[in-house]
Amino acid sequence: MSNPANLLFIGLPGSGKTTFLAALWHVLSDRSSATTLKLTKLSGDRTYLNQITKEWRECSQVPRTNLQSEQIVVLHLDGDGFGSFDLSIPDLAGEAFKQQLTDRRISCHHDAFVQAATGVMLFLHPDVQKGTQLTVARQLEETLPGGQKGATSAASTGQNAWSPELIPHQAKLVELLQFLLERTQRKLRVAVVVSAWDLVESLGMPPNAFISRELPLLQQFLEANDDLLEHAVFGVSAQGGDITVESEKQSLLELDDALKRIKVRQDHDTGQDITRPIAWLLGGA
Amino acid sequence: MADAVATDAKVEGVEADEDVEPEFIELFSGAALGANDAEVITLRSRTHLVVFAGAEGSGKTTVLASIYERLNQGPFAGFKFAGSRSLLGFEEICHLNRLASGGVQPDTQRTRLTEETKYYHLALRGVEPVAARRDVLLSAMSGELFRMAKDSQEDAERLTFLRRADTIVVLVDGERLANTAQRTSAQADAADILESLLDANMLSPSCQVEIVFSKLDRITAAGQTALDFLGKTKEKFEGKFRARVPRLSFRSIAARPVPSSVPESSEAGLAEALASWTTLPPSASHDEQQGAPAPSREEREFSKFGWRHFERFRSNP
Repeated sequence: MSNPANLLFIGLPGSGKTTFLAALWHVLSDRSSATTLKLTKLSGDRTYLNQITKEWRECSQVPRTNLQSEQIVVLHLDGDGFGSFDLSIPDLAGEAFKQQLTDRRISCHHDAFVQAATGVMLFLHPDVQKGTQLTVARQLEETLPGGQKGATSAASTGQNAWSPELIPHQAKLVELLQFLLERTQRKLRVAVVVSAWDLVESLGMPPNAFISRELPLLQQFLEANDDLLEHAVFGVSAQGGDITVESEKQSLLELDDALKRIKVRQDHDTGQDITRPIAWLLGGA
Repeated sequence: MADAVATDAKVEGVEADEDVEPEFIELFSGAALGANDAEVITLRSRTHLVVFAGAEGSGKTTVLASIYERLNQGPFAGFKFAGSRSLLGFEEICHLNRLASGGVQPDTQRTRLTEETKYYHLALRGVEPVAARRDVLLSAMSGELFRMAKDSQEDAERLTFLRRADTIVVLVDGERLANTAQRTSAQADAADILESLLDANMLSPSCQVEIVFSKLDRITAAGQTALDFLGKTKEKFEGKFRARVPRLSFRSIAARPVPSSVPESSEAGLAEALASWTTLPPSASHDEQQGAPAPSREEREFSKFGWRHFERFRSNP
């Protein structure tokens, strides 16, 4: 009998959770690439997986999960050193996490997934919303050519009242992790996944350095709570490129094997094994 | 962090049509803490309480917001950010200094006198590999409260939490100190606050009191005369308070300097200040207020940040 394992995908809307799942299902069901974890059998209702993976294969935008369309995906897997196990992943709507931040409550339904989680994947899109200070913005403005000046002065039309939606991404993600710690009260492994890694690959830095540079509050939080959260950072390019740009989409479609669209980076290693973050969460090195 | 709020968590039924609506578990609010929530933190672990006192506009909230903004950019003052129960509260006081506010000039939301005192929580961990985690509560209090405390026992009760403070930072408005018409008042306002605290017997013997000259960039820009007056103000405070405040110290900072005025020195200044404000003196490091007479049960009961008053104040506005 297989051992059960439960993963929890956390992330704000558009952070790449469903796209990751679609690419994962393509890789597992394709069975032709060398992955740490492999599919042992097909079973259960695969309608949802097939639906999102179809969009992925056609380089279309994988539809965002909304609060009404949340699904639980069960995968039968095995791998060297892992044995056979059933991996359960609820595909929760990013909107639900956004609501946790503004409404300051979690549904009992979602809390049950938190309680059962063997490991957590925290997704974030690299285009992060920062809490730029006016003083910093003005200093940057000074370095711009004359025509581009005025972003913080003339262009300002008035003051925006503060609301929790305005807080920077890094504060939102720290708060989601604090909720998690509050509800679980046990040590957890957290795989931080920077999705759409292809967008920032040219910066030439490993994913953990990216987090350190772009989301330093999150990085500090993860490091300072290493007694409660064991973490690793992965850069995952699940689409392979910007599918909203027609020429890029066409190039991706023309690849002789869709598996080539996938890139996974941890530290200085880059490969195509999309199961790597999951294997790490389940106790792998 | 997890322990404290788990006890507060409660499951709430929603609306009348319970068959359809899901149930929810409440999470912590994330706002600046009121008395009760701050108390939960102090009961859970040894918490360092730092109170910023000063006249209106002296820069109390700006210092508080600046500490959080620096942590947003990376480890600061030898600490890593390890969490906060009042993340939204910090974000709110930083808003007027953010591009997202739509404002033009950096600003800070003012502390209102009538509001219940708010506390901002930071969990910090030293950058060294084996450093312990420490909880810090920061609070900004208007100088007006201290003046009222001098005149009225009832108002003094509002400030009983000060007996629990590990560090009191009295801010002297550097901008006013640099202005010849206002500098004597600025000096007197700060002295008044400290005098009020001493008169009302609100300082514990182990409390570190630091006189901080804020907006150092404005003082420097005003020239030698302003710097000389700052020196004279220090001398005056030394003479007036040293005998009654054994742990008295002085510092100058620019928490939010005008761009390109003195950025490097101000960065180091605030970092040094935070490290000093959150370090327990050797005599008090193993147990709070070691050497000081143990408070009576009644006093312990009463000195929990002056909660009683706040409860009363809230119920009878």
